[in-house]
Amino acid sequence: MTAHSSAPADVKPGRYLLAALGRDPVSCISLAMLTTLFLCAALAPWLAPYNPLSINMSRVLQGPSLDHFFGTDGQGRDIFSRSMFGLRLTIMLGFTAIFVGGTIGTLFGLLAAFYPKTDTLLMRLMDIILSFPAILFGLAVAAIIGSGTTAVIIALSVSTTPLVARIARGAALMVLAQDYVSSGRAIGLHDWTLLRRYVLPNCVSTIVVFLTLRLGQAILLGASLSFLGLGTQPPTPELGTMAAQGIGFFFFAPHVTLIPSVTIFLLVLSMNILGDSLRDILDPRLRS
Amino acid sequence: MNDDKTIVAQGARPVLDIRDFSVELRSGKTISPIVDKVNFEVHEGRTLGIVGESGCGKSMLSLGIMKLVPSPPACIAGGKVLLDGTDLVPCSEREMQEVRGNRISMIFQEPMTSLNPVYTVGFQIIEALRAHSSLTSAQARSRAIDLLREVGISNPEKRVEEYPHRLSGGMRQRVMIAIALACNPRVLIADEPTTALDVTIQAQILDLMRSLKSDSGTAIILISHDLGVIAEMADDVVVMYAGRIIEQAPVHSLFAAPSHPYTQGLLGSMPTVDGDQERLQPIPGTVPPPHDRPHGCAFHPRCKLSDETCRTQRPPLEEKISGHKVACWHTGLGARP
Repeated sequence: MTAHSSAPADVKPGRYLLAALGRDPVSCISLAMLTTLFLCAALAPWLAPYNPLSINMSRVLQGPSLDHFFGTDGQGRDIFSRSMFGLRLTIMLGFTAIFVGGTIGTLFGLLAAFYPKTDTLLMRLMDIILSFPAILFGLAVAAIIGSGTTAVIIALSVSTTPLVARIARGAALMVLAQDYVSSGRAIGLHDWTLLRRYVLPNCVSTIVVFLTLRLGQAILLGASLSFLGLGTQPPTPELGTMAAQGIGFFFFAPHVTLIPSVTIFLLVLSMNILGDSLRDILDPRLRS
Repeated sequence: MNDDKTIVAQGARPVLDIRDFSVELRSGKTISPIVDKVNFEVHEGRTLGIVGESGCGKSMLSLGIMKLVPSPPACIAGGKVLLDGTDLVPCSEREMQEVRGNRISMIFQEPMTSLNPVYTVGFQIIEALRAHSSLTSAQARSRAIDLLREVGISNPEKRVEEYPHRLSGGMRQRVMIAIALACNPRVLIADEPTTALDVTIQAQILDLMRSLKSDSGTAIILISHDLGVIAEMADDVVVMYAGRIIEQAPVHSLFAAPSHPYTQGLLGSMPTVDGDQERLQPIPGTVPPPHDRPHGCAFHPRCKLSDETCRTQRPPLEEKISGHKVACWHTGLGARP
């Protein structure tokens, strides 16, 4: 046991992660940006200077000013406040979809790896779902249950599930080939215990890293669906919907479209950079 | 005195009785036997050594006894595994889960990778204990500490909280033994338990297994390709070649008078301490792959004594001297090394 005693004994995993992120300036900036955006979203009801829904026709399409930091939109609503609430909804959509899709996908992937008999059935089903573009899925779901937040969440979850299932299956197959799974079997553990205590914890880092990378895409997709008018319906503030609403005035009031778009851009960019750094830290194969 | 023990043991019912046990590898339409109609018995408090080259079916045999062969492609094709008189082959997976770790346990070859990296060693011993008994977590914990002390781990109160990556290979193998012995199994299958360890640790682990055997009366199946380990540990030895048993004898009889040309070859390829050999004698060729086993005696392409009979007819495993069984057409002729 001397071989590993050079590592400090009581490093908390969280602190280790932060320290590793801190060494890279780009990750630091993304982390700071993401934190700011998340705080804005979380504290929107308390920080927003205006009601995001209150219309003021005497202040239509104003540019940025001290009264309205990001100006006002076509109905005189404060874009700063609407962006905060929109960010909140966009992030919530993304997280819900990633959570639902991630859970179902992980379950499918682990089952397919653990019970080879179900493998073909489950994975071909996933392939079929994968063959539909997510936008098309959104269209279909919106056509069936009507456009709205629920439609976006369903479309995003369904399109995330097969991707996660594949990643989870691959990771689980690798874990299942490890000796400790055989020794778990040899002490007479039930399948469910093996899956829960041996397979899942050992492939969870792969799945989590994939999900953080997928989160950015999911948010982008969710915003796209809303932009196309399939998701959140106006006047509810959502970044994609807001960007779509500004298109009519793009040439004389570009900020109406640009501000929500740039917010989405910054959100997804910082998430992707962080996801990448997280993968570099958590994936032992990439560690030098 | 070894003979006396053999006679006593033969009167009693064996703990584990393997009869005509076969494991097959099925891929597409080809069926390849990996373990072919193997018969042996293991008695309480005794050690059976299984020797053979890589690929002769030793590990598949041990996994087969536990019904842990990777299926598909492998499957148990027939025979009986009688544990205290009950056949395990027809048992359901759920019944097998009750048997595994409880009445038969197993130690694997690679201690470095045989422990779950995300849990402490204490948790893993407790897990084995609680899978088969109704101990409370406090009782299980103190039993885990006792077990760690029994397998010779110093400061067990502290070690139960350690994660596997903080233990050395020898320590991990001790933990594996503690897990295997947690529920006082009737049979312990040790699949090359010391192969991955260096020689001093190897000796310590073997000493440990020996003292545990005499304390608990657990029957041990020791699988190894190391004849030195077998000579030191086993009471009876089974030599396997290409999925079949080719020689079966009490340990002293096997080492004093190896009868099968393959066993002679194995012994001839080992260095001796007195060193009166000039060169080691390797056995030419390799073990035939399971889908392409030769007709007749599977060893004939590599055997100096092979003749027409060997090429066409498979020799039966017959008792040549008392307790010493050999499957070779030539042993009666006084085969020389």
